Amino acid sequence: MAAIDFFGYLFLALGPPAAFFCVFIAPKSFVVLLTIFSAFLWLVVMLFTSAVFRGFVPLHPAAGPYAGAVLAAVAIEEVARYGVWRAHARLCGVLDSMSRRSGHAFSYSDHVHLALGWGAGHAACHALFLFASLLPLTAGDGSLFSDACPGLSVFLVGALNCLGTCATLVAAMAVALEGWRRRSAAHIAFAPAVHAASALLTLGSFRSGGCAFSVPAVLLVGAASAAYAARMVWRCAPPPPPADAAAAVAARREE
Amino acid sequence: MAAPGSALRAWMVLTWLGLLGGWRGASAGGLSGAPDVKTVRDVYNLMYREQARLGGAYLLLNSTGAVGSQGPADGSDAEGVLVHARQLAGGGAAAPPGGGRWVALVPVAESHALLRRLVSDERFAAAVAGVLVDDADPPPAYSPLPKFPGAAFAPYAAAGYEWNPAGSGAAELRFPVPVVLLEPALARDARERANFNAQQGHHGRAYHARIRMQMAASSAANASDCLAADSCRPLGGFSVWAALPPIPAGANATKPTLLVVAQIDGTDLFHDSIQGANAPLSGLVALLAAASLLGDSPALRAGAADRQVVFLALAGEPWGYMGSKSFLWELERRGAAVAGLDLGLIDQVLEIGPVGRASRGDPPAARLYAHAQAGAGFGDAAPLVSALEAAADGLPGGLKASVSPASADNPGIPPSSLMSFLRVKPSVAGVVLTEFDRAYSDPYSGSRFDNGSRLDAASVAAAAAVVAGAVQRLAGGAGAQLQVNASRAEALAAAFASCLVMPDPGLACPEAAALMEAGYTEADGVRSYAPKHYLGVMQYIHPDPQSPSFRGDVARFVWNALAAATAGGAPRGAACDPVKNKCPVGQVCVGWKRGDSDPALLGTCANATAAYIPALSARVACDGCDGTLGPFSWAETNASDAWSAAHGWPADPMWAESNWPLGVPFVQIYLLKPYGSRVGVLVAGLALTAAAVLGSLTARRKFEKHLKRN
Repeated sequence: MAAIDFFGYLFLALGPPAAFFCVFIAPKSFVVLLTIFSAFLWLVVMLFTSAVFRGFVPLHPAAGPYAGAVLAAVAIEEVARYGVWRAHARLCGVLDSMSRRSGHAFSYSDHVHLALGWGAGHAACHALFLFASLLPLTAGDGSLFSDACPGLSVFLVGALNCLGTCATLVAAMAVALEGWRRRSAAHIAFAPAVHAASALLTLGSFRSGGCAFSVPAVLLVGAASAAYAARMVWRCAPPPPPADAAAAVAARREE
Repeated sequence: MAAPGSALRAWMVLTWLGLLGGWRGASAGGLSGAPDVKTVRDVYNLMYREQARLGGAYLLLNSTGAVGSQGPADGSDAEGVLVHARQLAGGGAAAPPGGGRWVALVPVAESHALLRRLVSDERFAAAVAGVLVDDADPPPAYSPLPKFPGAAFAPYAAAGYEWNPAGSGAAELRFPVPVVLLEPALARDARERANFNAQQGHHGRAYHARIRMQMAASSAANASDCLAADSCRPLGGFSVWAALPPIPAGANATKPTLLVVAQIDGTDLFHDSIQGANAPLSGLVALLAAASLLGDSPALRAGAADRQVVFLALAGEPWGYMGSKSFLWELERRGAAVAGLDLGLIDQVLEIGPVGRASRGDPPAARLYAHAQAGAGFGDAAPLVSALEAAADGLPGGLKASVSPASADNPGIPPSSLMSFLRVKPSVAGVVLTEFDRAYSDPYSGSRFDNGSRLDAASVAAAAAVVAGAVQRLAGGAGAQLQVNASRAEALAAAFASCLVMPDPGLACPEAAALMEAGYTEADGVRSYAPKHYLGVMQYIHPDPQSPSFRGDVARFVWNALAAATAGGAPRGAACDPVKNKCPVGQVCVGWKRGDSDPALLGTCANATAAYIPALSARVACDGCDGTLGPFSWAETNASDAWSAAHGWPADPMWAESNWPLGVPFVQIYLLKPYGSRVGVLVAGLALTAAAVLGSLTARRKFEKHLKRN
């Protein structure tokens, strides 16, 4: 009976990300390894962020100081994202040359999967610290509600925020890496924009009843980010080769 | 927050909770007392307000049944919606709107009435899963004892007389559900949460309380049953006696003997909270102070006294006069613990009852009353009363007291250990010295509200001086006078009170620290040496009546204090300990703390006669308590039955305390969401996950087709 809450929040927050992982990441063992490495990398970034903030906590309980803290954390993570791009570019170069030597192609699909792996690691790290660490508290019968959000328990709000944030982070990474690859300013700006928006929207919960707006907004940002990323991946796929070129390739093969 | 990981977690939790509802908003329903949230543990403490390992009305068994409370018979926790008891008033009590049962939060002033209703009203008991008692506003009078405690042991028939007008008798009831006393902080939280539930109409989400109080002997019919099943332990402790002058080694007392008696143990419905400051500790403090004053008396020390004086501190008296009965049974069978004493020579008993609130008038003077048992066959107590009156009249400046004979309208002596002595030897001349005449004047007798803040040290000092003066007159021979020093009497009373009555310093006081090493409890890094005033279960009976092993801190302090007092200022002997460096026969090792090598922790041999006497039901014996600490067990015995029957003792109650597992008692208050909403979240999560799986598979197929085409 007590575990009903635990599994409810678990499936709500981490079920869709787990489904995404199982369908897109798990079939490719290298991407799984990359996801784990990415999670570790973002753990180091978060530890660095916590060390920076150690001198400032606890913060005054108002939206202003928290907005500053949120933006600072987002800024640190976006700087780290650029570092991820540099690592990703180096990795793709190595994999591409290895593929050519072995007679295979390092395709656009592989690029996309690697980007999703980086993003999944980022999302996993956030989910672990901001939600999963508190999930064991839901294994009992008790719950917790805040004054400002009496309609939703803090765990339900956390689960929904986690869901939206995971979608945002995976999508942001996919768009950012593709954006850096193509030198597209819009795509490069997308990641910090949605990341900051998603984080700042949670401050709406400071207002009484604000969670009724902030939680759906975070989910909406996540859904919109995912849709945008999917559209970008769809559109950025290399065009099909012209019909005569395809025939020439087929003829060479017959010879 | 030493490690970066925990700093990260703290920042994350802070940010998250802050983002969700603000720092002060991170609680439910605007409740106060929420702890600072810095760690995941702090979030847990917001969700669950808990109390562990204290406060239960534990199950005790006796020869006919049981008293106290226990958890459900199936071993589960008692759980229900938290509600103010006043909302359950009126005939019957419907179940909570969502089903289940209630856990009633009751103010102490209404607690006895509620508990009686639990016992008498089956429908009400079926609707209530547990009771939490809130001590925030003590009533003007409160006593769980009956109106005539121990009426069956009285040497007269007047069971309806109300010695204790405030008595409710709740201590004699067995409650069908667990009953727990809440600590002040949790009681405040419980009040707020019950208010929240009331505002919500007990609909929707509501605060629940869980009480874990499994008692191993809950299915036993009586003490015999549970002792045989090893699901309980007999209540027991150790009385202490010391002789003035000391009785020579191997010899017996040869002179008529005056016993000066006080009790050691208090009582209350909740054993962890027993105070007993006035009743009985004021009497014990007066006894120790009087012994210290008399220890300096040259007349008593010189052996020229007419009487042998024996100071006797009795344990277990609230439990069917267990200590006095054990003492008399030891005398009957000439046990090693009472070697040197002869019941045939005991002809006077002076018992010091509650004397801590005797000050009256302006200027204040301690008004004391001497209760004696009138009637043919009982000893003539007039010499004792006269000696007490003379001692009160002869007090030095700075101490004021008066002693009056108790009213002739009283049916007899008040509830006291003297009842036991008169039963076995009615010819004993006995007096009980108290602060009250017709009935207890203390409205908190036998309750946890009888604490040290209500004690008047001057009253105790005056009583000690009166007792010392009376004993000197009774035992010191013709014309003997004890020059009582008023400031010394006050200093002694204050010192012993600070050790025995006050939780701080408790047995860390200088007087105790000089004599022994006391145990302590620790909470939040703070040590407490507060003495325990609940008798507790008998741990072990060491056969050496002078060994301090397994005696309990209070008994060890009383033994050392009486031994030091009766040894007086005589030179001490060699350094000693109870095992390797024992004292010669005729001497006792006073002030041993620990070990056998560090001179600072060893005791010194003193010319004194002091011993521990087991205070245990006369129908229970230890099989295997031979000092080797090998296997032993508690077994029922009928060795004392003939002696008990011969003296018309009431049936021995054989008090025993149920065993209980680790983690008991445990109280937890938490917010429970409606079952429907919890299931809704689970269904939503599962549905969302299933949708995510389908969506992901579909999307992957489409992307793969799209990318393959390209």
